[in-house]
Amino acid sequence: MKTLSILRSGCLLAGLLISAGWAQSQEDSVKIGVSEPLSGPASSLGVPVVESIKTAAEFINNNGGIDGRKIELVIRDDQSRADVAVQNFRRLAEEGVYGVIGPNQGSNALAVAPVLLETKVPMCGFQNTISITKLGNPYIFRCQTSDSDNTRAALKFASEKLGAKNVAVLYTGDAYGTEAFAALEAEAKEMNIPIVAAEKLNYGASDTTAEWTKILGAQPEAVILWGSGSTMSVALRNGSQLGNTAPIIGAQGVAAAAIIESAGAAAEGVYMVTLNAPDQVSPEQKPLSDIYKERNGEDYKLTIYDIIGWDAVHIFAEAIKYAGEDRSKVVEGLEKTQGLKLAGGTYNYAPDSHEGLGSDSVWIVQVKDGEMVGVQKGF
Amino acid sequence: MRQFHVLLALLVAWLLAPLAIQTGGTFNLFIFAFINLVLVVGLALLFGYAGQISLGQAGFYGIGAYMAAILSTRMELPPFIGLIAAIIVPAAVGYVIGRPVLRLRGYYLAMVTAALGLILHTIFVEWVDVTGGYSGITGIPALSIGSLTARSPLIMYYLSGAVAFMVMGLALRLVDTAYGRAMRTMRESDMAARACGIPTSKLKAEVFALSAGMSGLAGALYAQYVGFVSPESFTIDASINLLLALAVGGVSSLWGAAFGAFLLTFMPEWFHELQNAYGLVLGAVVVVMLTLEPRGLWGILLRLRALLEKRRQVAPA
Amino acid sequence: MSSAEILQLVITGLTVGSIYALVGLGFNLIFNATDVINFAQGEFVVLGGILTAVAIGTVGLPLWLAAIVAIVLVAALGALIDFAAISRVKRGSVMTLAMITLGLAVIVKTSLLLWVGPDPLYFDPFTPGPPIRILGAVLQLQAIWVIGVGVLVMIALKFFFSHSRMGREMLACAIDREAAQLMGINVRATVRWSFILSGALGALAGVLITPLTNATYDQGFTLALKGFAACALGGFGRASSAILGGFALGLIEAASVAVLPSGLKDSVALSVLILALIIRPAGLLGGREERRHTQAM
Repeated sequence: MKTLSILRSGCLLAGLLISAGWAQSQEDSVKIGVSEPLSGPASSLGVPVVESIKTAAEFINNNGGIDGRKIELVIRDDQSRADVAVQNFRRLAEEGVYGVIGPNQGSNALAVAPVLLETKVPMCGFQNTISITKLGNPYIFRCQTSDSDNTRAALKFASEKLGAKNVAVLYTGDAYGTEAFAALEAEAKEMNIPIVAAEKLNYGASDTTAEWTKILGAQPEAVILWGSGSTMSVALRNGSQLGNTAPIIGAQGVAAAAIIESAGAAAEGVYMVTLNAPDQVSPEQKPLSDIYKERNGEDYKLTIYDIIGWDAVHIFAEAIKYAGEDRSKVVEGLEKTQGLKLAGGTYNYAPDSHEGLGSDSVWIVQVKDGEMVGVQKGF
Repeated sequence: MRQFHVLLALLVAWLLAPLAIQTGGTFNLFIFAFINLVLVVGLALLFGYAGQISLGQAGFYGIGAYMAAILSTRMELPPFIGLIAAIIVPAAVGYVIGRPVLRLRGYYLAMVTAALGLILHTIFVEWVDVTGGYSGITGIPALSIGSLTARSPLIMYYLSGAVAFMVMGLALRLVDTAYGRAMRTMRESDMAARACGIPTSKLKAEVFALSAGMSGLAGALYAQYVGFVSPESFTIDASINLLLALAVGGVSSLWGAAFGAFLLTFMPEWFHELQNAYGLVLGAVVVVMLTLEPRGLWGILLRLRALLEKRRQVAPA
Repeated sequence: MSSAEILQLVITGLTVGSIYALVGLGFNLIFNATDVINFAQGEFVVLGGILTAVAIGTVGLPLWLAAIVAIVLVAALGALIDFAAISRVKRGSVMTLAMITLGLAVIVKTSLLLWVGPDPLYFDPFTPGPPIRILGAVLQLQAIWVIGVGVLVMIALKFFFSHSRMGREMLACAIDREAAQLMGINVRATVRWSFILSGALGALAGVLITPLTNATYDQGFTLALKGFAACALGGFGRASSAILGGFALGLIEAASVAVLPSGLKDSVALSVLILALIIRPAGLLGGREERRHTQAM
């Protein structure tokens, strides 16, 4: 028995040494981690994002990589759950990634924040949720617009373009919705636009008629709808069922093809705050658009998810170029990023601002014949 | 007792296993397997021995986790207190609910516990001031002695493993005592039990409370290890999965519960390529297993043993 | 609260209560024949809605045909479940069977997720047109259909149980299965038919409610829970109690939305169920007593 166990330990040791040596030889690849919802309710957001991340990595690798080093993606599914996201970030850090792209949902970002302090690996997240960059956490970067810009854009558009003298708000009860509502309240007060009614929707609710009835009672001139997920299409439908005639401005979470399709006729004419106008292709979006058109057909239109995935990889690539082989310098590299023009707009980071995109990148589109058409960019 | 010998052998294997385990990922799996074991054994005690079914185990799991979280973060009490509260509070809730409801038939409890689980989930989501709603509670300090902290995979492996072995050992012991025999009598026939003077309502409520307390303990372990709690871990789906795990492992056996817990933890890893389609595998395994052998994996083991016994009998001594 | 708001509440309550009643009836059928709680009952409803939506949207069938196809398919699924799983379990007990239905529910739910995705599906109401305004309350045309068809079905079922041969055989099985078998009733066939009918009822509920609240892959279990609550509230075992319980549950839920944040509405309804079971375990109308020795494990 003893010889057997000695033999076993010997094999273990050998295996350890071999795998260590093998790991060493992989150093000329740059590992970037990805933690996105590939299953569960948010998977319709995560799957296309990971597609575009892979596309971007391939694109960079085919064009010289990062100073000759190839990007190696380590992709993990967070199942739309915060606890899985937390474990993903830990395991990715163990694998020696330079940074992590993700997560997607606001609550997941808040959940992984303490883990980042432990692992010291920076993340670039896709949340609009305002508070994530206000936690004082040096490792959190935003690869999106912040809802503080998005909400202001919605209010400005409602009052200036649509001439509404008051608004009503429907928002979901998660961090995304509640923080946006708080921002809307503050900004509406500043702009002197009264919020005549506001109702909180259950995240994932399948019926919003009760809340709609309450806000329609106040006769708003415009309705701001802030949330994500299937409840948004339910809300659009219920609104039209109950005879709402006020124009609706939806959040970025509403500007999804699946929601528009699901809402059917109720989505016609609805305005949405988003990151791009699918009917227009900017010069920075062209390389991505060309790849996707070749893959999916000439009339393919870029979605938010295509853009943010692509951008996130490029942002990290720039920062890693600066950092070289020193992982601890990636944060510095990110903070030195100025005027980086990518598909979503111009990215600016600084030691005291991890926001990324500004209000100049915010688009408002309108649904016409089931398609999103650009109306105004920049607020 | 043969079962204790098996337990001992497993104990040794468990102690030595970290020599072979390389990655934090594998430790992670074992830790969750141990946590799940505590949960499923709780269900097994309730179901297999008191004949009652619970679809609300995740709710008690959640109470335990939130208790540990809230007491150590908001109220800044040492993690140990959180651990104790995590056991007591769910147990108390279990007893209070159990007393009146357990008079009813088995599936009534199933639906009441499902309802309870849903209500608890709603509380976790809506009571934002206390639970943080969907954003949950982060930064839960881990139990630590010196530099050994429950956050490290290796330490947690030993901690959760120790708890699992303790729970298993106690449960096996319990079944053999008068208490356990009373429980089994109750399961076979409520009327006969009462005729023997066994206070069935009280006993059932106690088993329910025990099961709930165990779930709470598991919840505290979870909170310690992950350092974050949010409502999404404590949904009705989680409860359903636990019950199905027990069914596949073997409802009427504690060992079946252990099998089930490990399966529940490892199957998603084996099938992680499937992503969303994993549910098909789980459902199919349940349906096929229960249709062929209602006693689950444990039942299959018993059948094998019976087969071997028969072979041995046929062969000359 | 104004009378308009109360009326609105009653309308919503009756509409959703009608669905709960239909689900509860489905539960009842299977329970009566087999003593088994069919955890997949809610999935029948969701399937009914989704299949109809797909038949209309992708295949292009007219509503009435799509609905019939959906109902028939789900009824067939019920038969399949009985054939493939329920009837095969020899050594098991009602608990085993119940767990099998739970596993089946997981399979159905996952299949739907893979097939149509996580977003809700809709189709247009049976009759187009703006809602009717009664005394300040809004009555959607579809709601009239839901309540109307629901009540018609309930009346039809009553006749079925009292006047048709199969219906009375089902009742006989419900009262005492062994005696029924001794009397020459084919219990096996009765069980099969109860699954078929249960599937049809569930699918019908799905077809009725989808134009109002959409069909999403994960609604099944909560619906099943509410359907069970309807049965329990009324008192397990009798069809009329499932109906009463369903409407009662719907009204309680609607009432809670008026007073509390709507996030709590499910919890309120279920809390009422728990309280009701504790206070009056036999249900509002009184259910069956423990009439036969339930096998334990």
